[in-house]
Amino acid sequence: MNFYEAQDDARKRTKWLVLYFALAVIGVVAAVYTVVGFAYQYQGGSEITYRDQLGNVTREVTSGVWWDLGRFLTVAGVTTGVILLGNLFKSLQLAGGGAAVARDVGARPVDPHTTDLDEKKLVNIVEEMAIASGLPVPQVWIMDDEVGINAFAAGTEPGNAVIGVTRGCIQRLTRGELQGVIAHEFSHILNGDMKLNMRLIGWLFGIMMISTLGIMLFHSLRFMRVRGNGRDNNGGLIIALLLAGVTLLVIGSIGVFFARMIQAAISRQREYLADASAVEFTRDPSGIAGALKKIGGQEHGSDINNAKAGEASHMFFADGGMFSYGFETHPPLDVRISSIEKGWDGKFQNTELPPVAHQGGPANHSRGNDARLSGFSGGKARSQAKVKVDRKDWDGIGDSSHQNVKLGEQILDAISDDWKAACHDREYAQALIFGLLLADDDERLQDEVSYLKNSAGKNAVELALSWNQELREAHSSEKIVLLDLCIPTLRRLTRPEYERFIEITRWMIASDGEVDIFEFMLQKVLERHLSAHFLNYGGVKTRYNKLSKLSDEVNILISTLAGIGAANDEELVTAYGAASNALAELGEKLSILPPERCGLDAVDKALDKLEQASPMIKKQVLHACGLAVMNDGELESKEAEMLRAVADAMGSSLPPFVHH
Amino acid sequence: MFNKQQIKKNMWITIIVLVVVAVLIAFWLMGMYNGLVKSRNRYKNAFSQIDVQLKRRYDLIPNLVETAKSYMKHESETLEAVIRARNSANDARKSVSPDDSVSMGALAAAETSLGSSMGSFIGLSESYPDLKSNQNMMQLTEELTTTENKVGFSRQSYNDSVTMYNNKCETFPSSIFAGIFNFNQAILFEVSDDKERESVKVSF
Repeated sequence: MNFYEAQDDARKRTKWLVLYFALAVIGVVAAVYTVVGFAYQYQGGSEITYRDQLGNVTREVTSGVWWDLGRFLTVAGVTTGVILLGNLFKSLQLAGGGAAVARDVGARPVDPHTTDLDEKKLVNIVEEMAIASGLPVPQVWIMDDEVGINAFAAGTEPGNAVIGVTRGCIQRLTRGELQGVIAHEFSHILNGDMKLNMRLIGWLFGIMMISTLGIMLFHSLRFMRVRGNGRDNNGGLIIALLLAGVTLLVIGSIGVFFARMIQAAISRQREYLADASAVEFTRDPSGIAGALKKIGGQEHGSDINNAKAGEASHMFFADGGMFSYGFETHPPLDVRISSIEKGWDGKFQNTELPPVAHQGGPANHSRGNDARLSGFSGGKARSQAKVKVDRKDWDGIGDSSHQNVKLGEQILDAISDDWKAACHDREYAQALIFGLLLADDDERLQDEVSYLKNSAGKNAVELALSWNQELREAHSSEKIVLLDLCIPTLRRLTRPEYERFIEITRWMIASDGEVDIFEFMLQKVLERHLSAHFLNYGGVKTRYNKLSKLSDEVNILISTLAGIGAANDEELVTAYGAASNALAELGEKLSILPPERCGLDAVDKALDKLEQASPMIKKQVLHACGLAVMNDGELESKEAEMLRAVADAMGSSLPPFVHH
Repeated sequence: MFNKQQIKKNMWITIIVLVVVAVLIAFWLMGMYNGLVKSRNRYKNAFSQIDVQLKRRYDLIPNLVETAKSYMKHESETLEAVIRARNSANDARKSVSPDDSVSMGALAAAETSLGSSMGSFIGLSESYPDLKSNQNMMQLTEELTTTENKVGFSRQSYNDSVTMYNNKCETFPSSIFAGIFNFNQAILFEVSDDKERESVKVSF
């Protein structure tokens, strides 16, 4: 079949589409009418009074009548109208081309001049396939949050086509396999499938409208319940709405059922054709076969998690694991593979996450025009163990006039551009954290290095070691700035990458059997800024509005903090005094705790409670903590770390106050 | 009289028919000529696509060698061979014309030898892990791979359009036109390469 025949075939399929669509509409109308009919039957209907010429009055009650032509026509009209309106709405939305679909499923466009190696490779492959198929180069989009192996092509014309791939696709496929997948999508563009698919999305949206309405009703109910407590007449309304929602969902599921049937009927056969054309384009059956095998062997398969992707599931490279009523939009994987690769042994291929870093330590080959490479020669870490602090700076913290933009600039300027660039790189950022966690003594270092080698790869070890060398002498306030710069980069990791990263950091923190202050801080920072992002937990409710309820916790906190920097008992007492003066309202309740009641475990528990305090209390406590550590006019590394840990654990921010 | 009129009428009909036939033939010939011109333009355009990609490739190779130099100090011979092959291929590219079999042959030969020396260079570089993991080298290798693929794919479409054009030049009756108006045969661009892939067909 050449592509003219294929396009023709696609057009013929459109006729079938019309038939299926008509069937679907009839199905939905019938379902709606059934429900409406029963409703009338049970509610009693209306009473009509006749008066004949003789003056006799007859009453006729229409209750119990299930069938009524007029009613049926009204129901049919309204239902069809809703479906067509939905169709129109979606079609107008899609008229903009493939970008609308791509945005809908949560993708982002890739800059063709990207410096990211993986993205560049993807862009290159798309250009290659455009040459091979003689089509204009489509825009390239990436679905960053999807770890399954999948891809799609969308657009109404080749001129506005886009190709989207998942992050999993880029990470787990070789160049040849990715080429096969992209070629498959190109053949959808060339064979006219894409156009058909776009039309299909519009129509499906119409059929699924009713169930969408039901879902929307449920969502609105959620908000109603929160507000409507105590009112009596609200209860009945809620029950009625709930019933209506359930009914809409049940009726709507018939629409969804037909929608899936249409998707399956239209797209399954086309997938074989696209696979065959992909092989023709690339002249290499191993590429696409390999990609299919990896889908079969990967735990995430070809999953697409985006909720909106359901209406576009027929556009994807493989079944996205979406609810399909037994109607798969794609032929089974093994059938597809064995049609491409005769004599396939039936084995899927298992893929692992790629190692943390592609390239190794920068130690001796830093020649290159890439900023990351020269990074390690340019950085200059200050080797002071202590920095001077001024109480005036600290007292003003939190005032908006004191949010010192200049100071922020200075701090950022003090860090070399190369380091900053390195922090923006996902590989270097992960290695930075590992490097900071590496132990100082040789024996444990050996253990950690061999663990890292296994779990993150050889290159990551080299990077981590060089970061470790580089930052060994640095003051913690600098390390903390670097850490902060890495956080947004780390948020871009995919879910499995994040899980691996957290597992490694946990292991490294626990490796020596105890948690030191730096590790404690790192844990708090990652928990607050990274895990919150990936695990989606929101803020904590404020429970404590009075400081007096938290006196024990505050006491533990400032006792520990005062103890960290103190060289002898005298210093401890003055530091504690400075802090407790700031919390004068607690008065008698404060007294220095013995060392056995302090320590990180106790602090950790105290912080859990303090997190639930009101912002003003947090500010007060944080202020007192600061006074406890900087009473001697100096901020040691340990003190800076502890202060940061306290701030992050309580969920408040710590503006810069240290002048370098 | 009547007969004369009849003859005159017949003559007119004949003339009209002849004119119509002549016009039709003229249109047909024009179409044939235009078809030849179109397919000539098509293969020329396809060739200029190859040219763009080849130029890009020849620009990339010196960068690649420059990056590799500091790592592969003992392989200077191989590196020089690559540069020599690249230079001669570049010269051949500059003077090539797709309807001249001599220059096309020269380019194809230069490409083949460049391909083999690049092959041994890449093979050698495999044994330098530091080089392989160099960021710059990785970028350049990716660029080179995609450019080579693009050359390959545009070569396919060039060869397709050349075949179509040559068929027109050789088959009767357009072959007459091709002869009169000097439509020269175009030359296929075939590079012998070990990993040259055969066209694969999958049937369902």
